[in-house]
Amino acid sequence: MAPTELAATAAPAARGTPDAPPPAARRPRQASWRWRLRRDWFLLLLGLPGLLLVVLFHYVPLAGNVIAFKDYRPYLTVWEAPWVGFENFRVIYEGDPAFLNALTNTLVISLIQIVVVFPVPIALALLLNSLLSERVKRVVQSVLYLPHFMSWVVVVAVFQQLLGNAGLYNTWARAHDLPLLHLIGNADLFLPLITSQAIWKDAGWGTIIFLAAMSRVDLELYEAVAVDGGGRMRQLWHVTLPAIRSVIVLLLILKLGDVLTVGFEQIILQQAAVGQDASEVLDTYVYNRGIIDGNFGMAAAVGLVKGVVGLGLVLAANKIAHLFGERGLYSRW
Amino acid sequence: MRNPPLSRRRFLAMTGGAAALAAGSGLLAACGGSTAPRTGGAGSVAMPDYVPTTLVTPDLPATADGVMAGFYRYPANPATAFTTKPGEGAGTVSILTNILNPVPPSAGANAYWQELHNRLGATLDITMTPQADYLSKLSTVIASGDLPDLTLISARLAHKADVLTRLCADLSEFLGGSAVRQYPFLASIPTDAWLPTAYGGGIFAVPIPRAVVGTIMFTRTDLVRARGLDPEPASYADFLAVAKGLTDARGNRWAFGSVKGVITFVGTMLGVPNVWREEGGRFTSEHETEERKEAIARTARMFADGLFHPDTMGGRLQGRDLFGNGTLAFNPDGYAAWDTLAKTYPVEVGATVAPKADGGGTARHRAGTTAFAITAIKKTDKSRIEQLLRICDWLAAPLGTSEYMFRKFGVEGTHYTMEDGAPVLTDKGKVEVKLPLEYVVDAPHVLGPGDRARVDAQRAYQEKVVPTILRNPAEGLYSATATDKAGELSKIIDTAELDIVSGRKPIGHWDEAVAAWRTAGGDAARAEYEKALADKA
Repeated sequence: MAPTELAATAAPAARGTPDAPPPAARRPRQASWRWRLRRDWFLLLLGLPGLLLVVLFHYVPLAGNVIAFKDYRPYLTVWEAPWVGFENFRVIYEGDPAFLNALTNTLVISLIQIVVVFPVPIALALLLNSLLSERVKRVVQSVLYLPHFMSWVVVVAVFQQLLGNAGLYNTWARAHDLPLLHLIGNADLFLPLITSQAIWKDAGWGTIIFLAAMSRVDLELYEAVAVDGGGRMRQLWHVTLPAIRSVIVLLLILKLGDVLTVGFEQIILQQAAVGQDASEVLDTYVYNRGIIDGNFGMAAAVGLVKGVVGLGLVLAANKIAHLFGERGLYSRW
Repeated sequence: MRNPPLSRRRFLAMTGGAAALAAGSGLLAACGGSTAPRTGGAGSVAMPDYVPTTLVTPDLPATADGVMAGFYRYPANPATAFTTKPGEGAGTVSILTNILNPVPPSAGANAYWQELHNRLGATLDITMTPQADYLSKLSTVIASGDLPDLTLISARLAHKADVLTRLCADLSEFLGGSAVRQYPFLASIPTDAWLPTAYGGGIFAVPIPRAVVGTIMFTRTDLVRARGLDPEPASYADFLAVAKGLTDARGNRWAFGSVKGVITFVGTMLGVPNVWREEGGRFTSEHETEERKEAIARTARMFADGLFHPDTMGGRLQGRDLFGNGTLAFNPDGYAAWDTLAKTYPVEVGATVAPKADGGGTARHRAGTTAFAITAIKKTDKSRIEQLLRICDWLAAPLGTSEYMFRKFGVEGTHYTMEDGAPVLTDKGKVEVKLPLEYVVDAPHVLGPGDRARVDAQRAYQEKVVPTILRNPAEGLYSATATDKAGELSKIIDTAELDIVSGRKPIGHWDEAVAAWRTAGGDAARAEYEKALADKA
């Protein structure tokens, strides 16, 4: 999970939810607007840098997607490049085998991430929440958070050094005639490898948001369950999980939006070792075809479709969440 | 209008067109000083005059077929070639280039870098990118539209011709023909090296020249001998026996660590052409030959036999370090690495000459590219270009000048001391004198100066190999497709090679890859080369 993405998306959503005007503020509409500005100017000012950042780095670059419809060359300006209509989308609608391979890999990895990686922080948070000793909890949390602050380059290098074919274990095993572990550079084990890397690196960090939600639970609720004779499982099922359900749904929706984005850095760093068949995903495909091969237009087209699909998924998932009575990512009321 | 010395010029039809017509327009370009880039169609350009430097006399003179000159000793009193600071008034000069060694301390904490600024009279703002990531970095910088003053353009850059002609300054008026004599050290770069800088009737970069000898299969001769193996294999079977004899997985040693290098070396034994084979005006790519396929198949068998370092496929092995510490017994690398390896590691560095696969003498070795890469100047005004070229000239000052000594070794007393007439880097020098200046512009290489035995060994290797040298018939011809799609085309081939050698795909996959390569631009490149050759004749 990427908390920064969450923050960036959640912030405008929060702004977009107009707080019901306090009853005392019943004034003419025009005045109300000005009055609120005068009341909230400081808060708005605080939000301004964030808004600028989002506009500058998230909305303005969207205009660059226009090259998906152009024969863009790096030495031409975007305006000079000739229009080519949907020519760049041919790999998608004609089903270029390399594109289809990348799409399949992406979907498989994404599915695994949702099924295997996504629940891990929840389980971990529940586990941490059940720890009684505040000291132990803090130590465990720190240890779990730590890998998040390592860049993928370091994580991949650590895995390589420890488990690589000439890494610590295998070198030792070779010298002692023990069985070797062919984990890294093994196309068949690529999925389990990147999945375990992702869990090792980010599961601990992912617990933060769930722990925060759990800490808000009124202790009286637990007491009530206890009074009614419910054990730990009952407390978990009837109090803790419902308390974090909206957060889980929110994160799941955001995750769906990312369904076609599966960790560019992690994969490109390990791509050469297992070959493109096993490891090419949409992000690396866009990079390899766009940056390396110089097909910027085609890469932008694939990226654009990816973005549109992601947006569609987020909206659809949000709609479903609403149908189930969840607040979802944003709500109209 | 002055009549240019035609005889000293080399007119080249870069993109086709009748030779006479091409020569004519080249004349115009040189005399008129036209800077307008003309892409496509017939174009020609007067290549810079070649005026070899006469500052020093080598102990072993260079030969006509390309064996490098050799020096046993450093010239006693290096001349100071520049009386003024070449970069005076240039302010900050931004540079993007690659680096092959650890990044040196930044300018603020690097006395060598500061002294460099002082001697140049300009500030060099150098962005150093590891070589493995250079192409991505370069492509990104170009797409950003913000080119530095001097940019190393790698051969595999997509749309290279257009990037050069549209974003970079046409240097013909400054360097074409006799104009280059204003920059005497750029003039001492051989004409062959300038070929890859000429596009559409202009010169768009300064080359980093390389000798014809190219890639060498460096060998830990000490290990070979310690195991009682033959350091001079006479056939493929012999070579395989040496590789097998050297490999000792339990002892953490393998013969090879580079798939590409071994395929090329085995290919050399089998007689694979150097990129292209030309017969009667028809071009055949090396990839289309049976020999190349056989080379891949044999390499795959070596891989299956465990002769490769187990992490070879990741492509991120530090080949030189692993060679130095004995993990790898063979390490193919550019010829210039010979000195680097010998100076960095306390081991015996040798080189294996490729025999013909079935025995019967030395195989024909592939000529190296005439330039490592080329350095282009961003489009800017005339006086700025002249300033930057003066800095380039300074960077190309050869052995025998104090500028060269400073560039390579820093300040005497601080970064190096003279011992027995040779500079020895101090600890400070080893850390600080690591700026990749040789990947901006450099003087043509020579052997040594150095240890007599090493210079002799290098010279002996070259004397054996250079007479067999196999040139790329497409060198000097221009193909837009081959230039612009170099990266994409190589990627198809490289991916397939790795897939096959690693055992992920059978050797039959090679035919599919070659078909994909032909469709992606291989056939178009062939047609363009054939046309360029026909037009030239």
